[in-house]
Amino acid sequence: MTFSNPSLQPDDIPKYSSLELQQVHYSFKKIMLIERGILWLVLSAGATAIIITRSGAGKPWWILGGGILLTLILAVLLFTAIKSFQNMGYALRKHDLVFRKGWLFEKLHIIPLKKIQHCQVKRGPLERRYGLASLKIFTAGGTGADITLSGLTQQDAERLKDWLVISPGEPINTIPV
Amino acid sequence: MLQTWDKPRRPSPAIILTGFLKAAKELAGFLFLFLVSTFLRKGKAGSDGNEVEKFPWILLSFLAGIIIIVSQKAIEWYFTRYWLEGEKLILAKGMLVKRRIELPLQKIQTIQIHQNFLHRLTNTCAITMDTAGSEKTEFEIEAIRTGDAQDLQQWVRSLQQETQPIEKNAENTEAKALLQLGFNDFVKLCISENHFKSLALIALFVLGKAYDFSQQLGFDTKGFISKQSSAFEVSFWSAGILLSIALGIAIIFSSIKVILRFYDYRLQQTKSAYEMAWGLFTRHRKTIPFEKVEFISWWANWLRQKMDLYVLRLHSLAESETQQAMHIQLPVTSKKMLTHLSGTYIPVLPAESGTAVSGIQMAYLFRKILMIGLPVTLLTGGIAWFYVQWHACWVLVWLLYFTASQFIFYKNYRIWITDEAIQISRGTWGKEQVVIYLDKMVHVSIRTTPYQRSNGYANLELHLPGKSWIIPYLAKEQADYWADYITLKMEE
Repeated sequence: MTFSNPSLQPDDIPKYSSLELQQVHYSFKKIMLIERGILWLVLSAGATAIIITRSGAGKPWWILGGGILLTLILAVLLFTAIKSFQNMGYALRKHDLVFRKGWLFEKLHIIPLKKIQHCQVKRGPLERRYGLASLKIFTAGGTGADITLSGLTQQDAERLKDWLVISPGEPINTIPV
Repeated sequence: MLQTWDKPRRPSPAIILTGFLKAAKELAGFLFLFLVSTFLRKGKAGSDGNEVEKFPWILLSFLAGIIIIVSQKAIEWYFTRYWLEGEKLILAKGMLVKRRIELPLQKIQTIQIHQNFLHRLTNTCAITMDTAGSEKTEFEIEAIRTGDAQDLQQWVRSLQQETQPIEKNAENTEAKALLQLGFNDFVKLCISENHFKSLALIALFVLGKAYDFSQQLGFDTKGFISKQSSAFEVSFWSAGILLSIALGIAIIFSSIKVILRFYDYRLQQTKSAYEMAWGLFTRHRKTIPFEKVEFISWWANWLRQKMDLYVLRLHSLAESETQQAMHIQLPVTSKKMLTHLSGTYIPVLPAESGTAVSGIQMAYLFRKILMIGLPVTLLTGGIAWFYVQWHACWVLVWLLYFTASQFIFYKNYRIWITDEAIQISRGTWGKEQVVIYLDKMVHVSIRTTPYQRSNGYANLELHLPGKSWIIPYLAKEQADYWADYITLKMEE
């Protein structure tokens, strides 16, 4: 085999910023909203218990203030969920996987395919309800997954898992459905 | 002559003796406290007068405890076996719940041999082997004959090399000495230790013991300390003398720590690995093959920089950041030696041959002050105002210190990249340098906040197995460019 190592100009380096990221499945927005809603309900239950036990039910200012604060928290949670969903996306290249998530703290990962050790498909109750799945991607070392690619259909998650582990670099349509 | 390891064998029976002595030591501690508290409480209020009658029962419990622990160790010894099977090292143990641990030889990162005082008496040692797969130690035998441990270590290393054609015929027995510490090096190490840390450790130890004492004996330690401190007349001289005594004790404590740790320190290089040995009472021996070194770093506090003294760390896949005992840290006593040792990992440092990336942006400093410095100052100052009024302004001194330290950190941050490695230099009062081969990384990421996005900044995160390095506040285009470049180099 002949080894070649041609020099590269800065413009020759493939740029991730020019990639068009593929959005995750639209049903994942519902899951994100439901999860935030559940979080808000738990917070509200805790706050209500504190207001009742500390101030008594007969102090309307506490109830009004708590109500406004909880409504604001709900608005922020739902707004960030929608913005995070809009910002979430992934792209596959011949040699790596690009994945972006988060809105307030946006994070974009580039994982070379040859560094992937194994993948795992995970389906929670809400994901099963909407026919979706998450793909956990692990590289060497560490205790947890490096990234979790959420909002994929189960079929896409399985195909992507097989492609990443069995034949990375090949066209993905060669993986049987 | 090397023996074969394909037949299962038990650890040394010394495992039972070491288990017995450890248990006896722990139980004797409890027994001693009980005896002291019993006899001191005798006749005092709250004492039922039956303490002496309870003694035989306590002694009986003590003996029962010893018997249980020794039996458990004996069962552990009898049911533990280890052997080599093909390209795997097997450890089988357990009587009721059988466990079988299989370690592929190629996955073994470091092999450590520890020999404490008890081991020396019985001519045994403990051996541990770590892989990259877990933060815990996978293979551990508490007592194995010293010769057997060295033999097993050699077997594992030679079998590892047989599956690597490049090293197949390498002669691994010739070792080149790289480092040994002399008297002057010990003096430098003792002087430049972190004495404040030592003082804090002593204070914690004394307070802990005082608490135990007051719990066990009903002695009012808190009242005693408070009485003594109020009786103490504070003057310039008395404070000076007290500080000097504290510093003296801290220096003595630090020096003892240095001697215990670095006594007879030896580092040598074979054809395929670094081998090191250190320690006075507990002797440690560690081997790490070159290819298992993930990256290297070295640092020196302000005093050590002046004394030309550094601590070089070889980071391997197997180690956990939280378990300091697993870290491979080498005391390096001159810049020349540091260049020589780092040269065994990377012949030319990126700082000497690479492209200097313009460092982190000034916005980093402003954001740190705005998001951490000012809120903390306002909050603590605000609370302090209710108690000490205008004296609360002293909190501004902390803000000044915080600003100065962040400014120095910003000024000191430097990055160099070549087509094979990256070097990062950073630090506030001391300096830390890290060198990472680009192909050792597993992925890169770019992290941004809304402020960074609207002002064109980004954090570049370099992920290694189990560890991450964050380069904060680079210009966005530069972070994008280096992320693409490093990705390309990882994929080559």
